[in-house]
Amino acid sequence: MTIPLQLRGVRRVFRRPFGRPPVVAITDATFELAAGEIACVVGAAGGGKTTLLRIAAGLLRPDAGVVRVAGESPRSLPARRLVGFAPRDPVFPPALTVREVLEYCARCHGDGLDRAALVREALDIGGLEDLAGRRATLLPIAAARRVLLAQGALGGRRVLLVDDPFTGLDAISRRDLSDRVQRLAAAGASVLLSSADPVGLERLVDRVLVLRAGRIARDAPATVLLGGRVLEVIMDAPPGDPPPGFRVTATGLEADLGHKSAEAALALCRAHRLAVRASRVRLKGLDDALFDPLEAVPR
Amino acid sequence: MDFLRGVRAEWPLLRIRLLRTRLGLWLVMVVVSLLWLERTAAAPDPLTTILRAGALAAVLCVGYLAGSSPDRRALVLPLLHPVTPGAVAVGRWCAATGGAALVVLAVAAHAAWTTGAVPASLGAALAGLATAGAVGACSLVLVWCGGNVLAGLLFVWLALVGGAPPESLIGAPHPGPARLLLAVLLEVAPAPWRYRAIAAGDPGAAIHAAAWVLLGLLLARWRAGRLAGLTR
Repeated sequence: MTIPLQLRGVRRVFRRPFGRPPVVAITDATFELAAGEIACVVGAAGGGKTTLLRIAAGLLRPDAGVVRVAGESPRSLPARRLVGFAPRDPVFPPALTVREVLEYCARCHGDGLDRAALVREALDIGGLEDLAGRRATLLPIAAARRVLLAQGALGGRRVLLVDDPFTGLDAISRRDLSDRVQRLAAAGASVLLSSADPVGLERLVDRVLVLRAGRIARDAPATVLLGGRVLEVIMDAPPGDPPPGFRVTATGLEADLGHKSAEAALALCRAHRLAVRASRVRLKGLDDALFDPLEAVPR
Repeated sequence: MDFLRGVRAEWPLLRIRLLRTRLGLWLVMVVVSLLWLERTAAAPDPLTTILRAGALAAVLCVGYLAGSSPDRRALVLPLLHPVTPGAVAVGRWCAATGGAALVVLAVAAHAAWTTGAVPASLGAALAGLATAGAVGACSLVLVWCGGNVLAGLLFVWLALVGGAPPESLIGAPHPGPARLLLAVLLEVAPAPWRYRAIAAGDPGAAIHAAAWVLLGLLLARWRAGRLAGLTR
């Protein structure tokens, strides 16, 4: 069985005019996406997430490396039938209703009855039946993102790339969009999301790729990243020199517990004569993955 | 097959823009204005009216179908599906030329009705369609490079200058560099004065129009790819 999406050693550099140094957007990106898997690329804004997705979608050519969608180049027409891309910013042709936007996209896939079925399916994917007659350019952001998701999934795509879908959405809209993405994955689509803010993605993603300065610093199942516990120590003033394994935070210190007990970690603080006001143990969130040091995490 | 599907996907944009934007109103105004100018002219020339109608309507249709900033940004949308930039460019040009063809046929029908010269009007309609096609391809490249500002400039150029042959500009004893430049532009660019000859069966003018259509579509294809980020 062919792998839905495969990237090997992908590198992309943006050259800049007037002798300014080039920007390395992506370097040595290697990963695969299995059928039905939901992965999320997380990283700071400008870290190369959109570039990575655009390369995977065939919208950008990599300077080096190989991209394959079901064994084909993503720029080939057969691959483009299989890979869908939902951009972050909603851009629709002016004066078209939601149904017309989806019909416009469906015309690129099929004719006659096929096309009508594709539009019905897309309206269902996005939950857009009630909005079908509204102008697409006038939709609120949450509905516009659903239209983008629907056009991305239109035609039974096997790989769906969704760029920063949750930015600017309220909690209810985030949950609604998450559920729709999960339904697509449950139907067999491989989904690669990107997000600058991973908070709230815990219940959605199977796997997390942490992108730092264009490099995939971590590639781990979400359960591995979320399994850890963190000890937060609150102090009157953070020490200049934290004990080994601790890092300084705004309120005091913080340490990944790993297999250690909280008592053992606190004993280390006491051994360093630190005045501990209070402490608590919390579970790791995906946002911790952004700040964690770059040690290898088992797959 | 995929190419034709992509071309046909662009067609419905014409109906939607004709009915929901000011494009329909503008085309009606062009027809009415040109017919009024012809009626009040000392020596009415239906062929000139038809050619001008084709050229001006083509620029307007391209402006309303492809030239706005949201339209240019939304070019990426069809290219996220199994469609090539070439199919999008050809489809958009077909839709714009289709809109201009409606205007050409309306003005040609009026000429046939008022003059009674049906064969001459048919030839003029053919020349008008060629004008619309060539001007449409040229303006498609312009709007995808510089937006509707360039479409506006082309509209003014065609309305004020495009009907005059270059000889009328350089016929004076000392034409000067500005007039020479305008004459070169008139000679090279698609212009109604040249396509008059198509009505008389001149193959040179028809080849000029066909070359502009081909060149325009090739450049528009390249530009569509760039706007969508495909050829960066």
